[in-house]
Amino acid sequence: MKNNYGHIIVMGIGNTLYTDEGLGIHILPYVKEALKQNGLTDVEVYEGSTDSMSLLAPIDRADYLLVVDAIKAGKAPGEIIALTEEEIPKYFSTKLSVHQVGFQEVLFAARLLEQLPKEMAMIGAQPYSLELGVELSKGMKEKLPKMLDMIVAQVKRWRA
Amino acid sequence: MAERIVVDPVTRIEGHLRVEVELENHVIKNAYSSGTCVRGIELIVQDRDPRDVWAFVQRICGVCTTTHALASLRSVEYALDIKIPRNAHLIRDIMNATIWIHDHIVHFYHLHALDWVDVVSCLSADPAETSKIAQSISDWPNSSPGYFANVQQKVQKIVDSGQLGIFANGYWGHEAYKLPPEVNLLAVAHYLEALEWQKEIVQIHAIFGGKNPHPHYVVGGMATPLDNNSDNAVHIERLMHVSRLIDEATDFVNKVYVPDVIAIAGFYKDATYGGGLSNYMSYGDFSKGDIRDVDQYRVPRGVIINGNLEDVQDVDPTLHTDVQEFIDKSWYKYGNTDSGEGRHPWEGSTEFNYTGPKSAYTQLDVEQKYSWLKTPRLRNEPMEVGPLARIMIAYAKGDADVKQLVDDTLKKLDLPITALHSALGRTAARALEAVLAAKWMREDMDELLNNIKNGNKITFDRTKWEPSSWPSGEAKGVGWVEAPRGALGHWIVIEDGKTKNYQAVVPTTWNASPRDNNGVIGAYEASLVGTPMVNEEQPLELLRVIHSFDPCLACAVHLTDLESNKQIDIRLG
Repeated sequence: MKNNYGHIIVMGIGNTLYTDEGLGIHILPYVKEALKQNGLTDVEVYEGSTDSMSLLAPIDRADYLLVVDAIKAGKAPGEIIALTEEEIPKYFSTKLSVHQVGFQEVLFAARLLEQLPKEMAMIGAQPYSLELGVELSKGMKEKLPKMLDMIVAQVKRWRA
Repeated sequence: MAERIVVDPVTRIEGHLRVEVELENHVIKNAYSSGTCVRGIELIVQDRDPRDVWAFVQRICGVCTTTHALASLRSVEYALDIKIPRNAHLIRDIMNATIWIHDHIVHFYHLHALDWVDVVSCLSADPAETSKIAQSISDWPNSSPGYFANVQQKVQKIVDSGQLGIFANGYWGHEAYKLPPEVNLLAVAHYLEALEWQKEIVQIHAIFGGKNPHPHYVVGGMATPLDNNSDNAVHIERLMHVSRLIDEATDFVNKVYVPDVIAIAGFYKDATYGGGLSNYMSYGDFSKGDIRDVDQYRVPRGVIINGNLEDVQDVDPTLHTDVQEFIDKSWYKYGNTDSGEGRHPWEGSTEFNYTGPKSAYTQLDVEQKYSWLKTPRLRNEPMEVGPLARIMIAYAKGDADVKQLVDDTLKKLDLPITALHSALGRTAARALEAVLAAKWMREDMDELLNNIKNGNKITFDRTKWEPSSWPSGEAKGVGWVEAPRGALGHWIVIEDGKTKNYQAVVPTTWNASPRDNNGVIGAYEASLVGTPMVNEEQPLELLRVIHSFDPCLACAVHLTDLESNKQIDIRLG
């Protein structure tokens, strides 16, 4: 959908088989709902899962990209973490990501192709659990509303 | 203990792998391969409705997603004796061929080529000379001197920025790189083009499966609504789009991928290392009839032992002797025992039994258990699975297409068939089978279009959808798929409408397995033995060998080793 601001994508990455590692995916239905309630209907919500180079397609489409993911940053479990553009490559280059996808390599590939979004941001939280399990931990579920607020706020900033 | 070189993790792969090798006079004498993280997918599907299992197991891996879904569906359909409609079979095969081609091309250009291609060297290439080379090997249109000069500028910009990204860990200038700068430039240009191309091809999954990643399937066929009169269905425009993507893929394979592989191989004819076991296994797939019609497989089923192409043996995944998993060197137990017993996956289990080091360690104690991968064996033999295995078996069985492709390629390179038993042979086999996959995809799509034209739009058979129609008591099933990386099997035991037991034996487990109950080494380990390393601090040749298998340990393992922030750790000692 075209608008004056450019194309905004909220992309969740992660794996729903390992509890909080699936944060970026489990949150997406709520993201859709929250965006709708705020009238932000022209935002694309993309399930990136653990895909690798194929993610170049949505990255190329995006003028503004918000990545949602579990972030292991040595913080207390449940601590919400927002990373700005400059911090994202650093985050991935040290392999803090909790799943196998080389997302940093995907971003580099996008840079090579000169298809990086105008702006990127990342929102996530330190996981409580990475054990096998198809649901988020109880603690993480309680953090979702706060993260949703931050996601909506970020989208609104881009549209301003 | 002998001096060991440790590479952990091996980068430019999917997942987490550790390799330790012992050297003597710059040649690898002994090798150990270890999956350093644990998987437990089998436990998650326990007690679930077998009709839902595919949706869970396809999340084992974001890269191989569709192959796990397919293996799972086939296992359930086997157990419940469900025959899927022809259209569903065609769509599934088109989707599998899509992942073959996507995977093979991404593997070659983005995960493996940089073992053979020196990126930095391309900066000193003469673009006019590269243009000449490009035009001599292919009629692919992007081949002007200006085009290659532009690529060179892009690489220069990255180098100047100091942020080398994925190019940062290369051993640029290593003496084992043999390509002239002009060929390096050609390869780097196609690295970029392949990145661009691969974005589109997966739309085939999105169209037939409703979405990608993780497309929709259904036990009994496909959930694909074929209907020209509905905007929400797969209508003619979308089918034409698939058709166009297939033609573009065919072009890319034949005009870019294969000529590049042959051109590069021509400079590496002395790189004869990395062969290994010379035991090859393929379950076979891509049936012209139904999955049950093994004699109609376009990828033939078979087993080769010790490189003996005169005697292609059989494999039957339902036989206890043909697929057995040992745990002598793996961090598992089977009830009260933790060694000496090999179990067929129908009787298999996933019981963790970690006995390895509790904190940081410098090298694995290989006298004990040393991997999270189990050790699958076929009639007590270790097997290599994957593109090279499939090509060798098809060749030995006299498959006309494969014979012609292989013989033509070897003739161009002036090499004997035995040259294929190598790292480079594996890489070449992958390219050759991409040619075939593109051809089958076209055939299958034409048949599908024809069926639809004639009014056959059936993609789903619901006669055995309801559990009341299932056999009472226990039902066992096995679903095999030739996935991009090789023979994949899912085994299921269904009882009272629920999943009683589930086991997956994935290609990388066959290839990367640790030693078995008799101390016999697996495919990775065997392929490393005898590999030269001119500079032990820059294990380029080791990476060539390991990468040639296209390791994917995302499915074999799950990342739990989170403390190490390092990209790569190469140590002596």
